[in-house]
Amino acid sequence: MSDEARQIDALVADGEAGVPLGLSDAYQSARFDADDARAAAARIRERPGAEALHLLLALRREAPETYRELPGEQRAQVLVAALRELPHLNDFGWMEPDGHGHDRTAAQALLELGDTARAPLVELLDDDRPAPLAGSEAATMSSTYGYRRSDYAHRYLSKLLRRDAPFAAEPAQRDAAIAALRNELRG
Amino acid sequence: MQPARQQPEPGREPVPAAPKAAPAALEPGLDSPASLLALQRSAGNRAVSAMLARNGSTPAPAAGVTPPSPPVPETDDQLYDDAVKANDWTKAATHLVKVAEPVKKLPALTVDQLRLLQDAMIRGGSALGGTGSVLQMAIGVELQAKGVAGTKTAAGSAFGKLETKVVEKTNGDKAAVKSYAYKIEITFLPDTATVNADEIAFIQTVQLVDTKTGANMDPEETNKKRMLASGTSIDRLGGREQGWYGMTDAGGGGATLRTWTKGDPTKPAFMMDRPSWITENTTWAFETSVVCRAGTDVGKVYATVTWGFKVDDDLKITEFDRVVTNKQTTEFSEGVGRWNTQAAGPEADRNAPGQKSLPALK
Repeated sequence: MSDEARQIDALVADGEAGVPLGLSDAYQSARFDADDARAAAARIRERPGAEALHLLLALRREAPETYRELPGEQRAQVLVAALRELPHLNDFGWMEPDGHGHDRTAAQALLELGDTARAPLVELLDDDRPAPLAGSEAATMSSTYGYRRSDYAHRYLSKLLRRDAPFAAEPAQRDAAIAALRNELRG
Repeated sequence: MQPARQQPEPGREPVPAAPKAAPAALEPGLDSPASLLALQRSAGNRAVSAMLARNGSTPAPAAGVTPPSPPVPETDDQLYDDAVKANDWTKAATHLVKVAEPVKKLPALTVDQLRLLQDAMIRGGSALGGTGSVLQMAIGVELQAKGVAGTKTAAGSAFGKLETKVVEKTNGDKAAVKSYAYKIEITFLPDTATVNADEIAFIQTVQLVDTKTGANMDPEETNKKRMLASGTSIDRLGGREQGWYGMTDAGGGGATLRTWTKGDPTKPAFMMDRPSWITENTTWAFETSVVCRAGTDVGKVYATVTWGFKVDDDLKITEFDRVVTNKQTTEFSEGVGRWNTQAAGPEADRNAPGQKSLPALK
């Protein structure tokens, strides 16, 4: 197996295992020459699922030109799939009621896609499954406020629409804002 | 086993050096190890060396030549004294339990020193044997002898009442992709007669490692940029400016924190943490210090508690004893130092662009 294939496999394996980017040796150490970058992009085009998150974000960091050549829809597909499927969402960020929140690497990649990311995110507004964070204070925040996948979708869609991204402490209060946005965007 | 923490914060006032005894005159019968040891205890290594030289036991040096010091083993008594002078309370505790009459050493210590020795005895735990347990009691007695109220002799009670409560302990389930969780609440109600504070809050370190390899497992990426070699770092959410646990950027309490304020003195400082994940074979060790955030005492540590748990292959939690001490460990202070270095460093490496420094601890 070639080095480029090994690197891609290692990144995909960490993506499948849901290893946080900060703990992923494959992500931290990833380096792409032109051939590596082309192979990575081909792998993402072939299977743009959640498991390609680490590969996609490594490409974004190390080979930004190749990354930008990937269709935006496919990049959004990977990022929203990760938002939907990862057991813990530390690489996306956190939210709190005073309106403050923090968008990490995966969220930044999603937001920079602009309108391309809107369609898959609108679908996620229906996803009320828990969206926990791992760790100490992050995990505490996510359990205290009962983060859900739909809360993240609401935050990112609000930002893409250049609006405030309010976050109420009570899930029931957040539901009203999510429903309003869903109705607006689905016409 | 709970990961070992380094021992208490040095930098307190040093004990005045004990007066050196004058070299004893050579006496007949000074020829056994026991008698030499007795002399060494009373007069010190240098006196013994000089006497042996005068007595012909060691070849007299040629004029102008400094003879090598013979290797005379130091006693635990001396090593204890040296450790106290060096403010090395871990070492002091280790040697004190081996001293013939250790309790006699206590009256020479100040109240602050007794508190630090008390911490070292507590952290030393069973490794210090039964003598360590007895000395913990003796320290309490000595504190009272120095005027400390009986209700304030326990570790961590000098400045108020620290309480911890574990309110959830949930094992995980791999098959069901269910995370484990451990929720703790910590409160501190200061004694307003002994603290000089306008606001009191918490600083916490976390060490999240693979139990088998010791490798760092903390998912907070920004923690790595301020982490000690042990994997310990100030426990803050990436993106936060404040180093105070649970604090918003504006300096207020969030979902996990309520600070104590002088204007509302009967409402204790409160913090809550609920570490959770699904990764097996991990050890989670926390040290939480109650610290004056504003007021004359700023930076003063009023009490500290260590707590945590480990998780096995099947995501089952085994909790550690919660241990209350008077002062933070050296490692904790180093963690604060790393936070402040990060705050002063390149913006890209900070916890947040506006990362604020923590006060120097005292």
